[in-house]
This record gives sequence, C-alpha cells and structure tokens, in this order.
Amino acid sequence: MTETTTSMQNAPHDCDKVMKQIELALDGQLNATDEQQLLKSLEDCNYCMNKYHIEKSFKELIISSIKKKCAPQNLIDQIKSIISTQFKA
Amino acid sequence: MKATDELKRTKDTIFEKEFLPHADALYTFAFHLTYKEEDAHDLVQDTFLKAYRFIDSYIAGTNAKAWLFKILKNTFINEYRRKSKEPNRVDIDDVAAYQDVDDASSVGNLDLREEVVQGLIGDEVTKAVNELPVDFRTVILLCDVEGFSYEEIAKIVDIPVGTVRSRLHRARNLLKDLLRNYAKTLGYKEKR
Repeated sequence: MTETTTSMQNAPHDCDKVMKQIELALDGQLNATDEQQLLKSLEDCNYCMNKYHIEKSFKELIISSIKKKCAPQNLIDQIKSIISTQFKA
Repeated sequence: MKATDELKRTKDTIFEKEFLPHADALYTFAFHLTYKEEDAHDLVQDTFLKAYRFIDSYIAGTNAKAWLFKILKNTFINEYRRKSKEPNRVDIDDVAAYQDVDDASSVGNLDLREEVVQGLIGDEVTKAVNELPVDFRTVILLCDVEGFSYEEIAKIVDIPVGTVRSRLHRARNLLKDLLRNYAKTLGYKEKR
C-alpha cells in the first residue's frame, strides 16, 4: 500500500472530491487502486452513491442516443479504387 | 520483384489491415460532426486518402485509430467547418464563460434516472447532443462513443489533458441543461 492510499483511507469523506472522481471513474481514467478507493467511499455516503448511479445512467443514455453508423460499401469501394489508380508503385 | 512494388504492397497491407477496419467508427464520427451523409462520405474519403499519402509517418502496429481520427478532425476543421453552415455554432468561450463552474454542485438538480430516462425518450437526447457546439460534441463522441482515453483525446484534438477533462464536464453540464429545459417544456416537474 502506498502512503497516499493510506492517507486517503484515513481522510474524512469529502463529497466534492468524490464527485470529481466519479466522472473520471466512469470515463475509465482511474487506476485500479483509486477506483477501489472510490467504490469504497461510495458505500459510506448515500448522496455520493446516488450521484454515481445518476452519472452512470446519464453516460449510458448519451451513448445510446448517438447512433452508430456503417460506412457505405460504395464509399469503401471508391476509396480502394482511387488508391489503386492514383497511388501507383 | 522490384523494391517499389514491395513497398507498395507493405503500404496496402497496412491500409487494408490497420486503417480500413476503422471505417465505421470514422463514418460515425464524421456524420455526427456534419449531420450530412454526403459530407460524412467526403470527409471519410479525404481522411483515408490523406492517411495513405502520409502512411510513411505512421508506425505500423501503433494506434491507427487515434491517428485516423486526428486526420479526420483536422480535415473537418480545415475544410468542412468553414463551408458547412452550422446554425448552432456557439463560440466556445461564450459557453465557457456561461458555465465555467467546475464545482461538483453544478452537476445535478435533475435526477436523470427519474425524469429523463423515464420521461424523455431517445429523440430529445439525440436532439440535445445535436445542439451541442461542435467542440463539446467532439469530446463526447470521442470519449463516450469511441472510448478514447483523455490522453488520446488530447492528442486528437490538440488540447491539454486538463482541458479534455473540463471540456467533457462542461459538455455534460450543457447537455443536462438542455435536457432539463426539454423536460420543463414537456411538463415534467422539477424534483427540487
């Protein structure tokens, strides 16, 4: 265990700090130790836990509302044909 | 076989195996930047042709996806953004000034689980995303849809990692505001 981790464990629960970490966690930007730490502090605070779930479903909502597209086949064919005619060895 | 033929074959292999598999992701990104199939088509085509032309500066086996996204984003900025009339274009500094509070309390007066998820169905959310200024939409697309890390986004967009983080935060707050307004218009009660 590193010193920072120990001091974090002893630090009193800080909602503002947790809020900032939630966004990072959901974006996959926390390392495993910090993520564990965050999940533990969520257990200690209903307010933060609630926020975590709100932010999580918000992110999922955004993802599901952005339609994934497929590149049309004629586009791929066109690109390949331009490359084979314009870029000769 | 001539050395030039060999070189051409190597390039074609990289193109085929490392670049083309990202066509759908690039097309999705291009479409959500321009909102026109025609522009997305041109943008993706330009991106691949540039990638081929500059293939020597790409190191095989590295992050092709991020490299291609950077080319697409630069092409968009340089060639399309100017010509495409974007009715919702807002100067990013205006928005930044309007919502420059990086404090956690600005996160939520709205319980998105209750009001948005239950009340507002997909269309409103899609509309809100479309209304985001393009710089904000870009980071949402790169982070939420494509799952790029902040560091990769920083390289693609050419901004510091700290700016990626704050821009994402602002983009999300802006989306929440838009959704809150829709919710009000549609007659859903505010909780608090």
